[in-house]
Amino acid sequence: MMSNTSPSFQDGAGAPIREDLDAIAERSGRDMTAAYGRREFGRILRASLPLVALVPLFFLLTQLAYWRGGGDPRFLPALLVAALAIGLPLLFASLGSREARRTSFARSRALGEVDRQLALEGRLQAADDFVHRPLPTGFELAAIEDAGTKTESAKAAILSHRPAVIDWGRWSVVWAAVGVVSLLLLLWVGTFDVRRKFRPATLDTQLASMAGDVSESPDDESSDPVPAPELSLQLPLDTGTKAAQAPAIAEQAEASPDVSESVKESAGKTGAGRSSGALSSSSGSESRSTPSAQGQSSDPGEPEDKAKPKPKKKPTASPEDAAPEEKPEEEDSGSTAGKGSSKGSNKNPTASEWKSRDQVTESDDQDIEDDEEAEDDEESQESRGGVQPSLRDRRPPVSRDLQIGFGNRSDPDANGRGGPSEQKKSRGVASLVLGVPIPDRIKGRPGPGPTKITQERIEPQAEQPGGLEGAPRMERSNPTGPLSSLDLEPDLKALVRRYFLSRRAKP
Amino acid sequence: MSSSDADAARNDAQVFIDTFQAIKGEVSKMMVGQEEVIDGVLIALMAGGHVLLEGVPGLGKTMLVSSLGNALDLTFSRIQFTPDMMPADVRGTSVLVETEGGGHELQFEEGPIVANLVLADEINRATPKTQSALLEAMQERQVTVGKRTIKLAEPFCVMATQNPVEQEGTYPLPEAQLDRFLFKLVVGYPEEADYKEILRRTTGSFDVELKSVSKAKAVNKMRKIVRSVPVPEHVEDYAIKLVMATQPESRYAPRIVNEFVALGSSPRGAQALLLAGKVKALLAGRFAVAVEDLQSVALPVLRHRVLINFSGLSEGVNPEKVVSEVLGAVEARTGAKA
Repeated sequence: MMSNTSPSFQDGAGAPIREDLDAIAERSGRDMTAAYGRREFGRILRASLPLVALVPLFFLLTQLAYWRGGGDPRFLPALLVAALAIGLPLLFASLGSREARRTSFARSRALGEVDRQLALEGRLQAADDFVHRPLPTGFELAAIEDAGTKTESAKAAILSHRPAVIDWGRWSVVWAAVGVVSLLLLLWVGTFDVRRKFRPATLDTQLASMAGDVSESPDDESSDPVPAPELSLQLPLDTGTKAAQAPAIAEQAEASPDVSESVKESAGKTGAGRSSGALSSSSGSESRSTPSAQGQSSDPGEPEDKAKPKPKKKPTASPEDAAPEEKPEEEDSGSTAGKGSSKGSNKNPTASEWKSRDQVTESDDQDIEDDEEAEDDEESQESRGGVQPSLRDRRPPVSRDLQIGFGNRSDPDANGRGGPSEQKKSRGVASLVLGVPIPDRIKGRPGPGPTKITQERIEPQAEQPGGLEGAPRMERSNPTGPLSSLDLEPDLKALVRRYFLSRRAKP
Repeated sequence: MSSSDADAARNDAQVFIDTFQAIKGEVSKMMVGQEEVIDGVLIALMAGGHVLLEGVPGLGKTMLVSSLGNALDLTFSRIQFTPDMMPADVRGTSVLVETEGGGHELQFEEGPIVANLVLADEINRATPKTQSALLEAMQERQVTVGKRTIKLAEPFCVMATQNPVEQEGTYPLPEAQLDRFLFKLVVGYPEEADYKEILRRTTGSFDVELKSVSKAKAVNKMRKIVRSVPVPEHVEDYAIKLVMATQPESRYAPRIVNEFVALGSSPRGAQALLLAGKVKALLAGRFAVAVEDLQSVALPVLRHRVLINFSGLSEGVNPEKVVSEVLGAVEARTGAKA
């Protein structure tokens, strides 16, 4: 309800209220500035907390790298680094807090904060606004007087300004823990003499390993003069003064056996490997010639493919070992031979279905052999004038029978031109379409080849024309006799008759 | 500066509070519960605004308005909006009447809009053409028919009701019409404790008779008192920020406004905030408007002035949520460093 007992606000009586508002605003602003400074201190401290962990870790890493590079580790300023790790966040936070304390809050906001904390519902703010108006209305005066009743309690109240609670979060704890561990590690490393404890042992082992490599290296060098083992011999002389080169020496010493092994491999490949390859190829040709001599239709390429790996896997294998592996091939060839198919019979155009199929399967695997024969065919064609078609494939004509393929399989002879194939190719249609190139079916020749032109040179000879003399036309000496009546059509006869009758009728 | 002015202001404020409570008490005889709705209707009446009541059938919206008319002893008219209603049915029209001499002449017959309290029942069932007949009356407080302009008597208040369900065959109010309502009050279901009293009053043998506790003149005086309540500068700033925060792409708009609001509040919203805040301040026993007053009336003032876009509708965002977010966002910014 309205407060009827309000102080008088007449003739400058509002001055005490204004002073009270000033005092309240000043104190509130000061408290808010301090609270804001504290908040900023905590906020910046939280943001710079990772420095507690990062500074020692960075220091340790740099010293470790320096130590591995051969330098003397300098752990003496460990305490200084620890102080730096702790002091930097505090320094930053202090600077930020001092900067925040310079920030001044608006008067209205300071009074508004008091209103908020004392649940005055903006009375002090409104009164401070109305006090400065030149001619306050009755309601404004009432508002000022209403606020005057609250100023005493506002001045006496203890306000707690908490701008915003800083959420330290889990990461702050993690960073703090890592920082503590890093500092402890830094202090531990700085306390003990790491150089004495670790450095000699590692150096001795490296030198010992290098000495062992040097004793073994002459054998390797005799086989192949690789410069790496020489380095392994020279470097230990310098390691007495330069410890940084010890790891490098050890690495080179470890790398020297690999180098000798690589040299061995290269030497083996140049000599023995090449001869073994020659052996395998010769054996392969022998195995290929065997079924052809027997006249079987088995794949001649298979023995070649299977014979090649054998010398590589077992170069010293005895013929008894190779015999069981060739036995299945003989059984396969025997099975095909039992059906009566032979290579010579395949050249017969009237070969049976089985024979033509076998030949097709053979031709697919005879690419290498065909390439060699293609060159011979080309040479023979050139010698014959190039007019003969290529017969290097020696394929029989396509079977024209309309039988269905072998079982459910498609006909291997099917080339789309005829016979029981799936999809027929149109013949001659492409030539009717302008611009469609017609590929030449002769392999290896883009065009029909040179055509021999047989032409005889005939020299022109002059001819004497026969003499005919002109004479005037004489009378007929003999009567021509009765003319044979023209055998005209009845209509034409009637037409001629009408014509002459009409001529006679005219005067 | 005079202390008598302050005393007069205090007296006016006290009269305002007493009258307000008397009217509320009389209306509460008929309306059980719904304290916020009654306060909202009375605040809008005292602030000189219009009220849109939205609620499902059977919650007493019409009864509330009619009870208010009885309690205030004001001329009260009810318009049942139907789809076939024409603007002339609202504003009035010239009718042919027979004179004493046997002649005929055109005589203007005022429509039901010419009253102090107008209950526009089911306003969304009329066509927009008929709804727009209220625009001039609600804003200009006058009605123009042909060459005749009728000044409406003060206090003039339109209290419209609409049903949030049964939207088939209805015509949603256009934005221009919605903006003219000071408050949009959502009438909810009564509390469990209120049901007994409702049943007892409505199914018993006795009838509740309302007596007039105020006149039109008293209401006008209360409106003047409301207008004289001062507004501190920081409260004005807060009202402006609140309204601007409902406008997409404004500097105070939170994310939800930028994303889901198609149309924000107009300056009428800020006016409504301050007027309603003044009534709230008087009712709270203060002589100046505070930020808390604006916050308490922000929802009924702004909820019908925020138009949710299609994306917001698909996401289930409603104006109440937007206003709540706006209040939080602007409140956070008022605490910014000076």
